Parts: sequence; C-alpha cells; structure tokens
Amino acid sequence: MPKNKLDEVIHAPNRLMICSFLMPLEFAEFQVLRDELEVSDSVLSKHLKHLEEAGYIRHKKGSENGRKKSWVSLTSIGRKAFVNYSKQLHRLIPTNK
Amino acid sequence: MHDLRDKDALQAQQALKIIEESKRKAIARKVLPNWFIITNAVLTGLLFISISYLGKYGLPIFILYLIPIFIHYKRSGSWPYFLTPAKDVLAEGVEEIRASPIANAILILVMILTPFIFIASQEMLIDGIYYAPVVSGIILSLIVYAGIAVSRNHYLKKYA
Repeated sequence: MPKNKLDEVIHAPNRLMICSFLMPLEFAEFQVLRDELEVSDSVLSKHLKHLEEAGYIRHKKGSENGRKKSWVSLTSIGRKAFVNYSKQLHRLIPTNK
Repeated sequence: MHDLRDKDALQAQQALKIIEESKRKAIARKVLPNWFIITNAVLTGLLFISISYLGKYGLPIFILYLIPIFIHYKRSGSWPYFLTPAKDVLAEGVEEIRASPIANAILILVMILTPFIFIASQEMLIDGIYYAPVVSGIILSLIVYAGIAVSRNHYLKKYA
C-alpha cells in the first residue's frame, strides 16, 4: 500500500468504529458490538466479514448457557494496521507551527 | 491542490472523532463495577482475618480473588486495567493510562500498614481482645475499597 494512502479496509466509518471499539479490548461479543455501535446485525456481519477477509479481526463462534454467541477480536495484523492508520490520519492534519 | 489537502484534513478530523467516540465507549466497559470493588475489599478483609485469627484458609481465599477478575473479563472483554500491561494500554501509546496518585498512595499505605496492623492485632489477641483481628480486617477492607474506588473514579474522569 502506498505510504500516504489511507487503509480503505479500516477507513469506512462502520469499520473504523468496529476497529476503534475493539482496540482497547481483548474481545467483544457480537451483541455488545452491535448495541454499542448502533448498527443492525446484517450491517455488522457484512463489515466484520470484510475485516476478517483482510485478516484484521478474528470471529469466534460458540455457545454459552445453551445460547449461540460470537466474539470478535482484533488480530495483531489488525492492531498494527489500525495504529498505522491513526498515524496516517494525524499526518493529514496540518499542524499550526 | 489546497482544496484537496483541506478535504483530506477534514476527513481525517472526522475519522479521528469517530475513533475517539468508539474508544470511549470501549473504555467505559473496562471501568470496574461496584460489585468488583466490594468483592475485592471483602476478600482482603477475609484474607487478613483468616491469616491473623484462624491461621489458615489463606490460600483458598487468595485463589478466590481470581473469580471476580474472570467474571469482569468475560463481561467486559478486558482484564481489569490494573492487570493490563502498560504497553497494551489504549492502542500502543495513543494514550497511556496512569494510575491516580491518591490511589497509589493508599496502596503504598496498605502495604506499609498491613504488617503493623497484623502485629498489633496479634498482640491484642494475646491480651484477650478477641475481636481485634476482625476489626483490623474490616478497617483493611474499607481502606482497600477506598483505594480501588478512588482509582476507578480517576479512570472514569480521565479516560471514559
């Protein structure tokens, strides 16, 4: 990817919200992510798939107390990509010197 | 050229705003709940009483500390922030969480005072004051509660 180009996988607002939400956490439950980001199941699934394909997140499915649940976490590649993306954003903002 | 740069800068600012908002939501989930603080304070008191009064059950109570930590981990998706390695905190130095100086002072005070409280309660126990270790345990619980609560409020005010 060119050095001055923003990562398109992260740059979409919903995906940006997902990545920033996951950044301080080890993982988040799908429902928690959906409620906190105020998006629908389908929208969230679509964006998670996109991020998963890029290798930025891990989507683990399982069950708890007989209920189907899924957990999402950022991979180390995803974390690095996010940090680079944040740095890139700061570079784009002109500083008043 | 200038217009393009202004547009990029505006987009970057909007993106940073989104990052900030989402991160704050996530950080709010890391805040230690009241039940966690109370459980830890009670366990500290019990640990003190069990060691100073009964002279046993120290290890099982010590292991009990893990339960609230794991429950909090499962619910919030993160370890309590005092267990989080500093390098991992908030995305590699975007913002580093610093503990409250008052909470640190209370923690140091607990570590310094505990042996003295222990010795004093043992002496009182020998003198026939049987409730001394219990009272000491309760006092220690209250101090620990205050310490974690101060730390939590500091975290809430500064980062969430």
